[in-house]
Amino acid sequence: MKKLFAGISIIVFTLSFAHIASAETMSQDEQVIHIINRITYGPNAETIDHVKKIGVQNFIEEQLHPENISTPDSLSSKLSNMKTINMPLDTLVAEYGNPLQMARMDKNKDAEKDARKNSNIIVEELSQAKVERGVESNAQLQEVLTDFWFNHFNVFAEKERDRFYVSSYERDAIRPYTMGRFRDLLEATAKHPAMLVYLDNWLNTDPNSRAARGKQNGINENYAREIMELHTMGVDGGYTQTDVTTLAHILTGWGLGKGKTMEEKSVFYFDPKRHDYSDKIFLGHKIRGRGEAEIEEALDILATHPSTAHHISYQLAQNFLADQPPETLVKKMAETFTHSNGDIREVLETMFKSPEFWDKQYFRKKFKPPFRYIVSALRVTNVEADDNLIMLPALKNMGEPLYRNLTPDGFPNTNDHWVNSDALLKRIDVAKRIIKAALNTGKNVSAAELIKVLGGDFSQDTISAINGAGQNLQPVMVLSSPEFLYY
Amino acid sequence: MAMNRREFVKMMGLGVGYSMLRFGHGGMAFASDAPVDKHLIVIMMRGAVDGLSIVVPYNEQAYYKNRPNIAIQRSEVLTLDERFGLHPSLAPLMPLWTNKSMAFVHASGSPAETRSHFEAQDIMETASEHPGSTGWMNRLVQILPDTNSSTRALSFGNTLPRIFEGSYNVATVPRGIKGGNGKMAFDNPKVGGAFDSLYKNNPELHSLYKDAVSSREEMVADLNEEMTAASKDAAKPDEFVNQCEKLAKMMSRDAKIQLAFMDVGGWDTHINQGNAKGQLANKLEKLGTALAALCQGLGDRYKDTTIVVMSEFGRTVAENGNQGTDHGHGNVMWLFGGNVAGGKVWGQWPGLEQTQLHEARDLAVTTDYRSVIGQVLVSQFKLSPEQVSKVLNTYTPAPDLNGLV
Repeated sequence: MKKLFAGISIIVFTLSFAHIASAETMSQDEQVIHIINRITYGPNAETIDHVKKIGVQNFIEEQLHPENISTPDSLSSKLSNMKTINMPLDTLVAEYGNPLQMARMDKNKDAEKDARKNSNIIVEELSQAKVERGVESNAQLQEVLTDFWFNHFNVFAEKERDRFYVSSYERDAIRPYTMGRFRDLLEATAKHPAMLVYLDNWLNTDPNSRAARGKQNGINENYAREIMELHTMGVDGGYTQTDVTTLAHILTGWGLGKGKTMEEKSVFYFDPKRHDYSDKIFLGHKIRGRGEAEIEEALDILATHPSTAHHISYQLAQNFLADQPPETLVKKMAETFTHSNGDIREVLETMFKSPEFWDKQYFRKKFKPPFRYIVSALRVTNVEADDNLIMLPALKNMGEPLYRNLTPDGFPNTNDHWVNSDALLKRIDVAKRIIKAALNTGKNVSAAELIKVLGGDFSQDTISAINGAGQNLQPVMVLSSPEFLYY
Repeated sequence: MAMNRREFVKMMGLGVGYSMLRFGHGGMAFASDAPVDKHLIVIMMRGAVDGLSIVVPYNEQAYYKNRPNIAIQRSEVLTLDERFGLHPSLAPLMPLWTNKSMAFVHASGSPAETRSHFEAQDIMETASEHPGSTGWMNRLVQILPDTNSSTRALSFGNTLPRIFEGSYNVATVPRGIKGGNGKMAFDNPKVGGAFDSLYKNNPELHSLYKDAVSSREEMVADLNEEMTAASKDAAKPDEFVNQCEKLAKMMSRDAKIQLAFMDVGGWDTHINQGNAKGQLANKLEKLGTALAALCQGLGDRYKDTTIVVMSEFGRTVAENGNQGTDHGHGNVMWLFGGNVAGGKVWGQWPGLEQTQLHEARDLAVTTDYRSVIGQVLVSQFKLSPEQVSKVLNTYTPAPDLNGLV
């Protein structure tokens, strides 16, 4: 009995000690690695020295202002060789959409197949560009945030016409707003044809309206629900099924251009003839029925709702800090969100300046999802862009097929989804292929060099395990080590 | 909030925590008298499939009134009984109805009010409304007798589904795994040893790695001889059909696989759902083919296996403005297997008149999905009430499905 009690008191002691220890702040060297891990896709040969030289705070400041960061020439030239990533939406539709539509009208199966195949280049180049930018861009936080917000406002490139829209969606509706005002980001996504098609709102119609007919004959709740559940308030944000239905009525007519050609149908257009003009009560607000302005009002209500401030802050903190972010931090961020009128840059600053962000318990605790894993491996090994081609199928194989997440919640970013046995084996396999590619192009990928680039703080256990292995295997083991699998 | 494996290991600080957990901790009593040769496959149709198009209540006037464009006509259904008919695309499954190894439980589902896909799926997979709970199939595998295999529980896909989250390391069957052809780095014992030492001081990765390598060995062995035979067939274009065939092959060969989970998406038919033909019909046709292949491929194992097909909630009784359906409530669950009392639509049919609907719009739930699972746990796995309560998170299954399995 005595022994048992002694055992219990040891456990209690250990637990409380663990609690005190967990409030410890990271060392300066850890802070350098932590900030690089969280706001970039991991160190390349220069990153650690750069951050040590200018200091962590200046590095954060630098990354929060991507407009002042120049694009490396090698990246610019790679991007400029891509045909479609800078094509305006109407050109994309004219070049790739119209041939498909024509083939369909002619009922020419072969031509349809060809047109479809030709249009694959849009998503292929966009995916390729995403990897290139992740690896080479110096505006790393901008890339991390583009990924975050795309995922937050996810669309699926295989849904109907979205294959023609998806690169414009990322470029025109996401990239310009990553650190801007949330309300602008919400509006840009709400109006983009990619979202209007993906969540069906282009069909959402007042059943009693003059123009209700055919496939546009009534209400569709899809977007109304997801904009509240995923984009703004969160599933526990305090709305009801009535609010979903009401918002669907408010959103009637918010859709795409009329006309016969795919180009005409690929622009945002509010159709007053399909709108429900009745007065409505949405989330307790009286909304006077008056057309498009109702939708702007509803977006205002959503963007400024306290639940939205909390939900967005939680999502950001989960992405940048911890799977279960501390509520104290989320609250501070939500306050900033509210006071700054949804200024994303300020919300990020609040997070990066908080003591919670530097709490040692979060150091290297998130398991890298596939895209982050691959891009960070390419950065540390300096493997050339052309070799990335093999990486797109690998991403699909690992569960992150770029731009092809079917469901609107996007890819998960928490350990509970990604840590599994198959994930580990596949990372080892990819590590082997990347090291092979590096060796083929004459890169110095000795284990010692890689560890140095990564900040040099590998544990003694890891280092002795690596040293105990054969020469060729050593760099593969660096990329498979606990220090590299987590960030 | 429930502690997951990783947190637990972190707390223990040492690898010992893990092995304790793996082999039954916290009073998770083994079902020592439970049979070792019983199997359960759960298939989740993610996206909320329209159950009213699957098991069609062809006598209900309200069904046709609410669905002018997307109803399945009485003349088109495959008659199941005097009330219900099966979607014609599911014809490949009719032999299983005739031999009485396929059953449905209509108007079933979760009583949770949510119409969020993701929340509803989480609830169904954890049998809990508390976020962060472990998956009920992970709790189940810890209660079942240990068959001393690293592939006792199989999950298909690249990420771990919520239903399998928890302290037991579930083997994941990756997309595109092949038999002996798909060599990976660690298949070389020397290389494997190096990684073993790389992870030896990281309990999470070490246990994951060890389980991964051994389950991979078993999977490769399971598939090796069979794939040769399979490669004679033309390649199937549909991935889910492939997965079903793969699972059937593995389970028919390896009796130690006790639990398996697969999911299949694309059922969120907000627009252009179609009726006896069209979008949903095409998807159901593939699904029917896949399920028939699974049941057939299990061979002798089928008699000791129960297959449960479920979806997070149903869809609105009325079609929406775009000839689709929005998120609803009650749905239909499907069961297959040698022990299933099939050839029967189980459950209490609540009707589709306006006053009979949930919130005046959706099929009501008259059978809790946990009661269906509970039947399998009791009849198939012989779990005690205490064990059922652990798997179902204190829920006590209602008795009205007695005899279903």
